[in-house]
Amino acid sequence: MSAPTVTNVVAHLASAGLVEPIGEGDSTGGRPPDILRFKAERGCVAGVEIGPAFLRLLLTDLNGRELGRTKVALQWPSSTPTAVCTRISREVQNLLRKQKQPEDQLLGLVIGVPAIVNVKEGIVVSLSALKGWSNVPLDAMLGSELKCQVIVENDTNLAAQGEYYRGTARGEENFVFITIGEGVGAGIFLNGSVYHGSQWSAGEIGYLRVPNISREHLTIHEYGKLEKVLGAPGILRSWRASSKRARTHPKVNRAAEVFDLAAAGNAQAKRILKQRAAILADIVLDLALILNPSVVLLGGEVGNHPRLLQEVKTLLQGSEFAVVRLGLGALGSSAVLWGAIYTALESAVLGLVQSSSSAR
Amino acid sequence: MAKNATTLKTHRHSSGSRRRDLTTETDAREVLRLLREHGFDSRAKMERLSGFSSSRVSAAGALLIKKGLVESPGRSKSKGGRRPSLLRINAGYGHVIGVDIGGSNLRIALADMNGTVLGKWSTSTKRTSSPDMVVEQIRKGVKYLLQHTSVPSGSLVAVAAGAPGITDGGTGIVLATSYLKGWKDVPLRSLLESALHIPAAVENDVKIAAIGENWMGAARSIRNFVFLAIGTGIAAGIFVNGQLLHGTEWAAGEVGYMIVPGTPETAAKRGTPGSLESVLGGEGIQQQWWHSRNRRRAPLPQKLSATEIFERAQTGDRLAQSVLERSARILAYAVYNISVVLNCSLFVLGGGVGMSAPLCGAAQRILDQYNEPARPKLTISSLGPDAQLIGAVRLALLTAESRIWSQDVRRGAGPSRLVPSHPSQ
Repeated sequence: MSAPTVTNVVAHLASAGLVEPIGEGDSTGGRPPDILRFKAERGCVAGVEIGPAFLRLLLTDLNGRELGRTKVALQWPSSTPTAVCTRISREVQNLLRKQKQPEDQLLGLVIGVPAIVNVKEGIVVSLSALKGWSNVPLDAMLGSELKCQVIVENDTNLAAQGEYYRGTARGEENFVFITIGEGVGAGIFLNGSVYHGSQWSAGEIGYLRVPNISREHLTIHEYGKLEKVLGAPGILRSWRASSKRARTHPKVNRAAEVFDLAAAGNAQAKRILKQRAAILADIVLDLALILNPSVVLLGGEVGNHPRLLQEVKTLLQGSEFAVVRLGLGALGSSAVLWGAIYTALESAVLGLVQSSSSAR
Repeated sequence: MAKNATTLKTHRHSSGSRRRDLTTETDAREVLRLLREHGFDSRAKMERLSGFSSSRVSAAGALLIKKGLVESPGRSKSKGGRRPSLLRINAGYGHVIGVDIGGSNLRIALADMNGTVLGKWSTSTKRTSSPDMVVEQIRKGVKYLLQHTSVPSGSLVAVAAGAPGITDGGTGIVLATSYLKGWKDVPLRSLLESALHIPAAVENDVKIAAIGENWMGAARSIRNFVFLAIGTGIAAGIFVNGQLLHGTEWAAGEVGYMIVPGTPETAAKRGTPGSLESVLGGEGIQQQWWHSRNRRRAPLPQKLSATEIFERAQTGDRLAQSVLERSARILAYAVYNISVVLNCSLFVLGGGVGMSAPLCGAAQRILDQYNEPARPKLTISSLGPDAQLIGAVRLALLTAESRIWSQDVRRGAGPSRLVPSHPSQ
């Protein structure tokens, strides 16, 4: 850019409050250069994750520097959309107060929901686990309470965003992030951005039909059956079924503990792990063949277990068409929140620049 | 590609008038695209379609006329007010060559800038399939077509070819194919450019067929769809957000190796049939027929093509019906899984097996029973065996246009290889 262009752009950014001059630098011969600074304290953004039984919140400045975070329990069956919205806005206000940030400093809020989301209209299309959560205009409901820009997005898509901006997928323009926790889903990045599909449900791999499911659960032919086997509840169910037969088995509370036991040599746990790995390997292969991504990442409470990764890698070794790389996400349980923060930052900064344009 | 051009231009000239030129160029590309899609049209209609102001359309039109890509054949009949002026593609600007390199046939088309095919030529590749021989055949075919259409060779502006293998559209190299002997890492684009002395582009055959279907076929102007070719092998050409999906190593859509319920568990290895292909490909279906026929010692014909078996099912043959049912179920699973991943609802079926109406109908009936988010619709390719050739003509036209736009840039920035619709460019 030419000097006058830069001057114009800088003036524009300064009028949006995004940069400020902080004096002159050392001269390299001519006029000393003006040094600019990005004003990260110009505002803040919040990321929210609606989880199976909790709400997580993260507040950062415009550089993405963490200001505060919180996690609160949520009683699912009684959590109507209205109740959840009230709770979110109360928790956001609490966080702002703790950081001594006035409410109008909050420039954007992004919420990750375990559901198919129409991002353009801010509508939660369906949340299969709950009643009263179909076609919920979460964007409008929260926007009226918090008076800032609100974006609603599928949680796995946000987790993929998080890994893209500060996790294992940095610099990858085409990759898939598979999350396995309570449910199963995939966030698909094509050409550097999340691919949503024609009706916002791209990557809903919980509905895939792969061989091992049909063979071992011939009677289950319903909605999202793969999810029921591969997700945490399915793993716990298998474990409990096998513990009934052999009473000596240790008690487990989390699905990942079954994989820990497998790593320690427990034969029943190993069998469960191998079954899940076989299903996951087929999913990874299908995704790799359709999309040819540079990397497939596993995440979520169940998905980020190193032992599962190892098993899947072994199974995929014979396939020349399998993914170039298979790895684990780096952000763990914070992936969704970080994805939310970066999505909020992108649109909040853009919003400031645009509103200052229209004001001029 | 457009982005590169923009960057280069703004680097060299930062004055306002240059920036306006660039905007006009972007507008001109859009007007040209709309002209291709909607044909011969008035400027007023162009304003409606593009959403541009009349001065923007005029500036874009003037640039296109200056470049020779578009002509203004005068004014159409007035409906009361001022007579609307017209824009249309200058068909005589030049000519392009589309090439379809298949496992058994080589087909060539010569078209004008409207994409109207003026002549076709074909030959067998069964005995002469080495890269050099194929390129030599192409040169011969082009020479023949030029003679028979009386088009001077200087009129040719670009060539594009579809090859039956994983093809790097960026470098123009055919990486691997099991359908042609001796084809590994073949620099097909350079070979074509030195044989024909015009800019060339190459693309995988199924992806180029998808371009054809998107341009003139069953997926006309559809932004998200999958072209699924089922013949001896199986592969998909995937359009997402109006763009062909290539993947990291140009292997997106190699679904012949996919695993669905009912496919054998064999490792995916290049050069061997994939698990989906082995049951849904033409030979896999013939084998099923052959085995069940022998098992039952049925007095039925031994050698039938997949299409013949499916047609036989329509006449009440129980054995053929069971083969059809099994193939349709596996096809339904494959389509369903792809649609779950991509959330894409239109599937265009092509290839010798895929074009079978009984198969398409039976698979659709199975898919309609699934009460899940993806509701894929199957339709049979409307271009049939011409999809590749028409896609190649389209890619050649895009190649020619991108060369015209990149000429200014190239003068300042040295040679650049610009192939349209490849994301990595």
